[in-house]
Amino acid sequence: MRGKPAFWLRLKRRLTGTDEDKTSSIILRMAMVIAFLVVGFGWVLGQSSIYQVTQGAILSHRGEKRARRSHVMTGRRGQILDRTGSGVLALTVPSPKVEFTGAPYYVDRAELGFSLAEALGLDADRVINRIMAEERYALIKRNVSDEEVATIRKLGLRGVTIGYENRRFYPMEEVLGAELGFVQDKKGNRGLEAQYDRALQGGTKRVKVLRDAHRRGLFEGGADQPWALNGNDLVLTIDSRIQIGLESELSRRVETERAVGGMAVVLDPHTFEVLAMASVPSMDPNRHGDVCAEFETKDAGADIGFNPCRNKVITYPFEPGSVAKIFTAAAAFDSGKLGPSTMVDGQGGRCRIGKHWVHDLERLDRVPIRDAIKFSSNCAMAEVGERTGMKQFVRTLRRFGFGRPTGIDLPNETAGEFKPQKAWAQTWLKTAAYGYGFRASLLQLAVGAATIANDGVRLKPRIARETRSPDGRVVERFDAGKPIRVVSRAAARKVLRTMISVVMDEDGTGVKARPIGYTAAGKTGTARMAWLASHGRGNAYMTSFVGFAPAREPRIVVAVAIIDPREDRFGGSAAGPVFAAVVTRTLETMGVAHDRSIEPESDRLADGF
Amino acid sequence: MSALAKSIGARVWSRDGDVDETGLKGRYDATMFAAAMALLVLGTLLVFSSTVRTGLSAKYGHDPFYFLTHHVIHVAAGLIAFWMTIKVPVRWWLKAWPWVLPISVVLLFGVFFVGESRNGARRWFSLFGITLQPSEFVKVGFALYLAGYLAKRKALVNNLLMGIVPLTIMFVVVAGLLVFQPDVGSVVLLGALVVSMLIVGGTRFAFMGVLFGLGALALVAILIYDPEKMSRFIGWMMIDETRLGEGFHIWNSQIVIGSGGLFGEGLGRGLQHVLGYLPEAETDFMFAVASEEIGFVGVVCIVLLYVVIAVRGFALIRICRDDFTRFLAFALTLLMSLPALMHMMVGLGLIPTKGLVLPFMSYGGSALVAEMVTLGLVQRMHLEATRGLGDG
Repeated sequence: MRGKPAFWLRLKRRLTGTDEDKTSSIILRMAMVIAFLVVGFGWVLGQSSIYQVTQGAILSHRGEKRARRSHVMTGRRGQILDRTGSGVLALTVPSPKVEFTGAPYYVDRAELGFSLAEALGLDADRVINRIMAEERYALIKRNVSDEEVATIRKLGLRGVTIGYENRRFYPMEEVLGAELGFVQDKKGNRGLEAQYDRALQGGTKRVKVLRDAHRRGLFEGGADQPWALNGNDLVLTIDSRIQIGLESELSRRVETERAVGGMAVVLDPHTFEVLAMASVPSMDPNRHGDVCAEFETKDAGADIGFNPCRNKVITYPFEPGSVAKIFTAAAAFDSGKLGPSTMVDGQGGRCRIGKHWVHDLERLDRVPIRDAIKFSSNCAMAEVGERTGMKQFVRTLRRFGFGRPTGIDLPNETAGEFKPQKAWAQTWLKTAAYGYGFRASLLQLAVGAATIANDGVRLKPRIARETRSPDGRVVERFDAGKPIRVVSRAAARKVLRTMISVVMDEDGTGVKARPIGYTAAGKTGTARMAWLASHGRGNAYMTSFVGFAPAREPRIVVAVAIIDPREDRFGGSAAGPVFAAVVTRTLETMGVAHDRSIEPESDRLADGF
Repeated sequence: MSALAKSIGARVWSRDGDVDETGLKGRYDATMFAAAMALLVLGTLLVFSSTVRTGLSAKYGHDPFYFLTHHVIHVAAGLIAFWMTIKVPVRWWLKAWPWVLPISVVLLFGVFFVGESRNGARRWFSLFGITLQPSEFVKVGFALYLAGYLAKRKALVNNLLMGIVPLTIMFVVVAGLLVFQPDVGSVVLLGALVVSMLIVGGTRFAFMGVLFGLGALALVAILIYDPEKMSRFIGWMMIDETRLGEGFHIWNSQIVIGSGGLFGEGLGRGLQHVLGYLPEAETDFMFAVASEEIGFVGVVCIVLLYVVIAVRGFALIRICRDDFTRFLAFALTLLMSLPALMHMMVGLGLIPTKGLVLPFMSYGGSALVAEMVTLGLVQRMHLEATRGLGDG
C-alpha cells in the first residue's frame, strides 16, 4: 500500500463505507450512478448528432429512397365479347401466384421449401434449391388454384406471400380458339388478340407512391380513375351460339370422315359480317403453350391442315373445284350473251381439255346451263367459260375477289391465287370455269356466294363490329367499306335460282345439303388435292359446299370444306350434311321462320332404311 | 390496519394534506413537475401522429383518433393517480413498503393464469374493461422495497448471507416472472436498479462483481433459450449485414432518426414512422418518432427535460432527512430517468432491442399511471423534505 496516493485511500475508505461520515459515502456512491446517467445521456446526444446531423442527409436519402417510389399502373386488357354482348370470349382476371419474399436466418429454408412443394404439388428439390439460392425473392408458382391459396394461407409460412397478376382467360375454351389467338408477354399473338392488340391493350401511367414497411403502396395524392387505364373491349360480329353450333357440327363430321381437318364460315349476306368461323382441329387458347409449340417449329407451308393454331378459313387456299361453277355462271349471265336456259354440250360426260381427258359423274349431252350446274358437268361448264370469254370471266372473278385478300380484319389472310395463264389461255379458261387452275380461301368462296345472295354487290367481310371504352361508350365502329357491284342484280338472281335447284330439286347434286325446315341454295364441290400425296395421303380430295338459306331471301351464307374425307369423297356427301345441320341450327337460333315442312322427307327415310 | 385506515381517513384525504401536525408548510417541486408535464404534452402529440395510420386499420375500427382518445384517458388516469399519491404521507409508505412488492408479485404471477396475451406476450390483466400491466407497477414496488430494505438493513448490506442473498432471491423471483411473460426489458431495468441501489447502499464491489457475473450468465441463458431474443441480439451486433432480417428494427430506427435531421420534419409530418417502418412506434420506438418529427434540436430538448427531472430528483436527496426517503428518492429518480436513457439507447442501436417505453411520452396506460405515481411520490417527499425550510 506504500506509495499509493492518499486520495485513493480516502476514496476507497469512503466507498467501502468505513468512513464515519456515512451520508457523504452515500452521496459519493450516488454520484457514481449519476455519472453513469450523465455519460449515458451524453452518449445518446452524441450518437443522435451523428445520425441526425453528420449522417442526416445519407440516412434521410435512404429513407426517401425506400419510401417514395414510382409505380407504373397498367390498365387491364379489354374483353372480347360476341355480338350479343353476353358471350364473353376473352377476359383478364387476377390470378394468384405464390412468392417467396425472404425470411429471417432462423427459418429453416429446406423445411419451408418442402412444405411449399407439398402444398403446391411441385418437385421438392427444385423448390428448396430455388429458396436456398434466392436471398429476397423467388416466384414459386403462377396461376395457383383457390384450394392451393387456401392451403398456403392456412400454413402461414414465414416469408411466403400470395401475389396477384393479370392473366388472360378464355372462358369458352376451344370456341373460336384459332380465330382469337392468345396473349404472350402482354402482347397479342395471332388472331384477334394480335389484330386488335392496340385497342385491347390497357394504358400505362407512372404514379408516385409511398411504400410502407409491408411493401404496400399508398398513392400520394390518390390515383384518379384507375379504370380509365383499362383497355377497350372488342365486340365481335360472331354470335357465340351460332359459333358453338358450327364447331360441333363440323368437328363431328371431320371425326366421322376421318378427315385431316375442316373449316367453315357463316356470313350475313347483307352486311358481310362473320357470324361464325371455325377450323378443325381447334385449340384452347388457355393452353396455347402446349398446343402451338409443337407446330411452331415446323415449316408453316408444310402443314396440311393438322395445325390447330391455324385459322384455315383464311390461310388455307385450295382449288375450289365445282363450287366455282356458280361464279362462272355469274360471269356468263352478267355478260348478257348467255342465260340459264342457254343450251351447252355435256359431251356425254367425257371431253378433252388441253392434254387431259375429263370425266363427269353424270353423262349429260345437250343441256341448259341450269342443268349443267345442277348436275355439275365439267365439260358443259368448260364450254360456258369459253363462250363467256376470257376478258369477261377474269374481270368478273376478280370483282368477286379472287386473287386478292377479302380484307377481313384478321392477320395473315391469304390472297389465294388467281393468275390467268397467257401461254395456254384457252385451256386455263376452260379449266378455271369448273374450278381448277386457281386457288381461293374458303372465306373468298363464302364472300363470293354472299355477293350472289346480296344481288351482286360485294362488301368487306368483318369479324369485329366495334370497340367500346371500359365505361361502355362505342369508340370505333368498323364499317363494311365501299360496296362493289360485281354482277348485275338480274345475273345474281339467275345464279341464285340455279343454286336453288341444286339443293331443292330431287335430282340435284346437293340434296344431302337440304336443311330441315328451310329452303336453301348452294353448290357442291370436290377437288383433287394432288399435293397431299407427298404427305402420305394419296388420292385426296377437298370436298366443299357453299350455299345460303332461306333460298328466296337469304339470311345466312354457309361455306363448309372438309380436307380429305375418307368415307364420302364427293361434295354433296361429306360437306353437305354439315351445311344442312348448320343452316337449321343457325336460322332457328336467329328466330327465322321455317319456310318448309320440318317433317323428315320420305326419300331420306327410304335412304335410312 | 385500522390505524392505517384511520391515518388515511384523517390525513390523506384532508384538504390540508400538505401541512403536517406541526403546521409547517412545504413545497412541491414545480420545476420537475413542469418538465414531466412538458414531456407528457409532447408525448401526446407524438402518440397521435404515430398512431393515425394504425388507427385507420380495420382492427381499430378505422378510427384515426382511437389511440389519441385512449392516450388522453390514460393521461387523465395518470393525473388522478398523481393527485392521490401526493396526498399519501411518506410515513405511510415507511410502514407499507414490505407489502407493496409481494402484492405486485402476486399480480405478476396472476397474469399467467388470468391474463391476456398480445403479440405473443402475456402481460395484461383485464378488469372491468380496464387492462392493467402489473409489470409496470412492479417497478415502483421494487423501488419501494429496495429503499425500505436498504434503510432497514444498512448494517447487513455487506453481509452476504443476511443482506445480499435475500435481496437477490427477491430479484430472481420477480425477474423470473418477467422473463416468462416475456418482458426482458423490465428485467434489465430492474437489474440496473438493484445494482445502482446496492452501490448506493454501500455494498462491497466484490459482491457486485459476483452479481454481475451471475446476471451475465442468466442473460446468456435467456438468449440461448429464446431464438427471437437471440436474433435481436445478433441484429444489434451486425446491423448492416442483417438489415432485412434480425437487424430490421434497429436499421429502420436509424433511418427514421436520421430522416429528422437538425430540425425535424415537423410535428405530425413524419413519413417514415407513419409508413410502418417502426413496429410499435408509439411505445418502444417513441424516441425515433420524436427524432424524425422534431429533429436533433427536439432530441436535445427531450434529453434536457429528463436531465432536469433527474437533477431535481437527486437534489431532493440532499434535503432528505432519513435514509428511507433518501434511498427512495434515488430509486424513483432512477425509475424516471434510467428507462428513458435505455429507451433512447435502444432506438439509437447502442444496446440491443428491449421493449421499454419512454417515460411520460410513450403510449400505454399502466406505464403512464405508474410513472405518474412515481412522480407523485417524489413530489410528496419533496413536500415533506421542504417543511420548515421556509419558502426559499
